[in-house]
Formats: sequence, C-alpha cells, structure tokens
Amino acid sequence: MSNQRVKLRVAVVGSGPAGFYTAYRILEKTPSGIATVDMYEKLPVPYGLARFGVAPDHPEVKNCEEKFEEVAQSPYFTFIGNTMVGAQPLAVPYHTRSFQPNHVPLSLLQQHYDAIVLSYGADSDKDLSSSVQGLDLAGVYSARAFVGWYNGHPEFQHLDPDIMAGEQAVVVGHGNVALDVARILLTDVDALRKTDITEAAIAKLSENKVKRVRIVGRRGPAQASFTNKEVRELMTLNGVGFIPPEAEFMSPFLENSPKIGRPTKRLFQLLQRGSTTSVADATKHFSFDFLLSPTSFEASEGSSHVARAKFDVMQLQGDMLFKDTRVKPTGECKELPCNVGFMSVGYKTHPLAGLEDIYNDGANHLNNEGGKVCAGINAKGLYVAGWIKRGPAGVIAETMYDSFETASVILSDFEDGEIGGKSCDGWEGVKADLGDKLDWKVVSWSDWQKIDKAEKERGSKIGKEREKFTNQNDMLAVLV
Amino acid sequence: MLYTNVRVMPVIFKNCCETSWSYSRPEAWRRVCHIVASTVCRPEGLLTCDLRIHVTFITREGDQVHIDAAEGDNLLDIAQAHDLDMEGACGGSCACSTCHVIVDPEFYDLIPEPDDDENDMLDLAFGLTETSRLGCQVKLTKELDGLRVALPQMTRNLQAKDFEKR
Repeated sequence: MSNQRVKLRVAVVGSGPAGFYTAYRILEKTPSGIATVDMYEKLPVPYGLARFGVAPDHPEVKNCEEKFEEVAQSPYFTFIGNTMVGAQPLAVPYHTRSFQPNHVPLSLLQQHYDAIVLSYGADSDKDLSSSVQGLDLAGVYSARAFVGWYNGHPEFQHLDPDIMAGEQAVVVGHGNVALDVARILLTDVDALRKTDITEAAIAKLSENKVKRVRIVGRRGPAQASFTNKEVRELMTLNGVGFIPPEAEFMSPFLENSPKIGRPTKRLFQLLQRGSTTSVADATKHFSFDFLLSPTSFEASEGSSHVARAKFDVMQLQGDMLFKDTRVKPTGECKELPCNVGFMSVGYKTHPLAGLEDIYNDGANHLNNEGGKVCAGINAKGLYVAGWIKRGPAGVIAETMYDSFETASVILSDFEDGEIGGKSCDGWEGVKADLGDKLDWKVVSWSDWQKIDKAEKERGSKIGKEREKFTNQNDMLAVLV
Repeated sequence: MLYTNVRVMPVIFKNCCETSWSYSRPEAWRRVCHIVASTVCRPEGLLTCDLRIHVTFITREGDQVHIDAAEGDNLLDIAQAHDLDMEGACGGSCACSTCHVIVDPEFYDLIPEPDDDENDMLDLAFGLTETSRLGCQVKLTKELDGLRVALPQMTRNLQAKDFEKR
C-alpha cells in the first residue's frame, strides 16, 4: 500500500502470538492509515506456537487466533508467508526433506521499514549434551520435537518416535511442555481423534505401549515451572493413576506452613488429593519425581535403544518453598527404567545473522529495554517481542502483555519523531530490491485462508476439526 | 402498545432520573435512549424497577467509568462493549488470565466462589490479589448492583500512560 498518509511502516518477523499482538496494538493505537504492518513468516502458515505448540486437546487456548484473524483483515496489514528473514539459516539445521526456507536478509528489511519487530521466538532446545550422555540413543527425543511432530510442524514429521518400545517412559523437565508430553502419552487415543492432531500421530499413538510415565525434575515441587491446570488435567485422566511423591516432598504442606504462596499451596493440594482413578484401579500410572538431575541415557548390552536413565540425586540449598532455590548433587545416584525418554528442559533462542552482538546467551534472548533494542550496530528501529525478547517461557497471556509493551515503546518513539516519516516503501521496496532472487511463492493472507479451508475440509471428511498439511509442498500445492 | 405506554413510562422516568442526572447532556441523552430502548425491548423488566445493574470500572489511570448493564452479563463482555482496555485472549472461555479484575472487597463475597478452572487461571494472573476474579466468570446479579472493579496493571513495566489513546 503506497500511500502518502502512511508515516510508520513496520515489519514484524514471526507470525506467532507475539507478532500478532504487537501488530494489533500498533494498528489499534494509531489513526487509521498512519501505520502499516507487514508480517513475515518462514512457513506458509501463520500462528507459530499457537498452531504448533498448544496441545490439540487445548483448543480453547487457540481462540486467540480469532483476534489474529481480525488483525489480518485490516487493509494496513500484509501477510508475507513462506518467507524467512535472515541472511543465512539459523543455527539449527533444517530437515530439508520437508522444509526449505526462503531467505530475505534482515539488512534489506532495515532499508525499507521504519521499525522492525523481531518476534521469531525460540527455534531449538537447550542443549545438555555436554552434561548428559546418550541423548542420541534411539528412543530419546526432544519434547519440543515430539510436540512439533504431533502438531504437524514440517520440521519434525520425520521424527517417528518409538513409543512402542516398552511401558516405561521418562520425561525430564517440570514445565508445561513436559506435562503435555505426559498427557499425550497417557490419554486414550480416542479422545484425540477429533482434534487437530495429525493422522500420523494418531496412528502411532494407537500403538503406544507406554503405561508408566515418570515426570522427573531437578528441583522440588515449589520450584516446578508447570501450572496447576495442567497438573489437574493429568490427575483427572481416565484410567490413569497418580503414584504420590514421598512424604518428604509434601512436608511443608503437611506442616501447614503459612509461607506457602497461593499457587504452590494449590499444587500441594493437587498432589495430596491425587488422581480421580485410584492407583489400584488404573491401567496406566504417572508420577512426579523430584530432585533428580539427568546424567545419562543408556542402552542394554548389544542394543542401541535406550533401556534406562541415570540421575544425580540433588538436594535443595535453601528454603524448600522459595521459587528460585538452587540445588546441588548429594553424591548419590538413581536409575530409572526407560524405554522411551523425552528431554523437556527448555527452549533456546538464537540471534539472526548480524545480531550476534546484541544476543545474550545466558539470558537466552536479545538484549533490549522494554522491547527496544538500544545497543549494538544497526539497532535503530529494531524492537523485540515475545520469547526472543524475554526468554522462552510463559503462556500466551504473558506474551500478549509483553507485546503490548513493545508496541507502546514503538509508538512512543514514533510520537517523539525517533522513527517514522521516512516514506519507507515496505514490501514493495523489498520485492524491487530482490528482483529475480524472489523466486518462491510468497503466501498472502488470502492464500493462507485457502490452505486453512483445505485443512478443515480434509479434517471434516474424517471427523476432525482439521487435518493439517505437514510439509511445505503440500501447503503450496493448494494454491496452484 | 397502550400497555407499554401506561405501565412503563413511570419506570423509564425513574431509571432516567436515577442514572442519568449527574452526567453531561450528551451522556445523559445516551443513557436515556439506552434505558428507553432496553425497557421497551425487554418485557420481563416492565414490571420491576431493577432493570439495570450499575457497575463501576476503575481504569488503570484511575478514572471511574460508570456502566449500566443487565443481569447475566459478564464483566468481560461489559468492558469490551464499552471500549475499556480489557483483553479476552481466549474469548471468555476461562483459558487465560487476561480479563483479570480486582473486585472491591465490599462486593467480593457476593459473587459465587471461583471454581477450580478459574482458580487455576487466576494463579497465573499478574498482580493477583485476595479479591481478584476473571471478568469472564463474573456474571451480574441484582445483589451486585453498585459493583466496583479495578483493572489491574498488566506487567511491572507498563505504565498508565502507555494506554493513552493517541
């Protein structure tokens, strides 16, 4: 949209909740036509983790997409899908069988936009391979990859998780992703048939042999990152029994300590009350195992498939009820049987090429002040939102507020004259500069709507909400 | 129609006086029109004087917004219908905490207690208080006439000025 009236052209990199909520706020808080937002997304389909992270049995969490659709209807919003921003591939190798990204350098965007919002999230796992052996054994998977697999992300369709190897599953990590993995392993597959989980996942989960899931964390219950809603869901799963933790973990609750904060108190109540199906009546079981830090996954003699997981036993150095209490090894070890293992210890962000000097490896995000990138070369006009801004943790609601903060900083800078008013030409300018190099199909919002419709049609034929296309070529084939 | 005219006029007049008197003329006029329209369109309200439940929202800047709403309306719908800065990311299905409100302690116990689902979401709300509720789960009843709720700060970093309309 080339228009004299436009004073603020914004590029948003990444079409997940962070990108959309920032776009929403910018368009909402400016007079109509003053600001435009061009949203770049590496996949042909939008919504990021709202599509690929949120569990298929949590459809109400995806209601945020209705707001995103509204934003996308604005004449001042342009979706530029199947187009990745970054001069070279990110640090993680792509599985080229199912996904080939098309690149536009960030520096090109900086020439054609007044402001760029980086909201591309976290694209890999926190890497524990230097301290945990056997992560590459058959049967050991990243929880992030497993979630991406069952949610149809093109990057993970090759995963082929072996959940038929045996009954014992170990999920390392005490966040909601770990609980999602546990729940998908324990839920009756029939309960998932009508959701938007992929058919490939349903087929595999139908042969699932897992009967005992251990959700293992390095610290205690008060330090766990998972939330009570997800714990409650596990406790109320049909036919699944909760094996309670040892009394030593329950002691502050049992002693009725007044120091316990509200969510922690409610968590202890959940752990105490246990599952609605008794342990004796249940056909499958799960437990929370505390104060165990993984050291290795090992196979049996002569096999290359995981058979057990080994842990250092830890002890809390300080208040049992304090969220940030650290742990140290006691010197003791523990071994758990393990036919399939999942590492769910957090995601890792990466800087786009050229942004290495503003990347904070320890904090796991790009350096910023309230969403504004202040230091480093070419910082002007750069903003961040979502996990790349504050680190890869937190639910959509937190990302929403975070994005609003970034939007308000952008608008404040615009009002002060620090950005804007340069007659930038946005996507039109980017296209002109790319010239012949733009040799891929750019997916527009109406293209996405065609893909969306096709997915819903495929789904309704088999009684599902939608059947997702799981690779880039299939998505683009709809548009031919 | 005759029935409407004779029985309803005193009721409309009473409501207009009670709710509109202190406002500026355009606002008063708006309220009068709203009352007349609601009264005529809602037969069950014709014979009572409790047509409307008065709710006050205190915004992040400290402004008091007075609203007349109907029994059964929830606070999220009311806030959004009046352009208050309240998001409902999950569309009011008790699956997030973005409609978090702080209820005036005077009224907190008059609202039925939150269930597990709501409490689970409140656990995650920023700036949680003893009288916090999710707006989408609070439905107006006659007992709640005069209800006062405050919109909480969204995060540590956001200031009230960040929400000024431009």
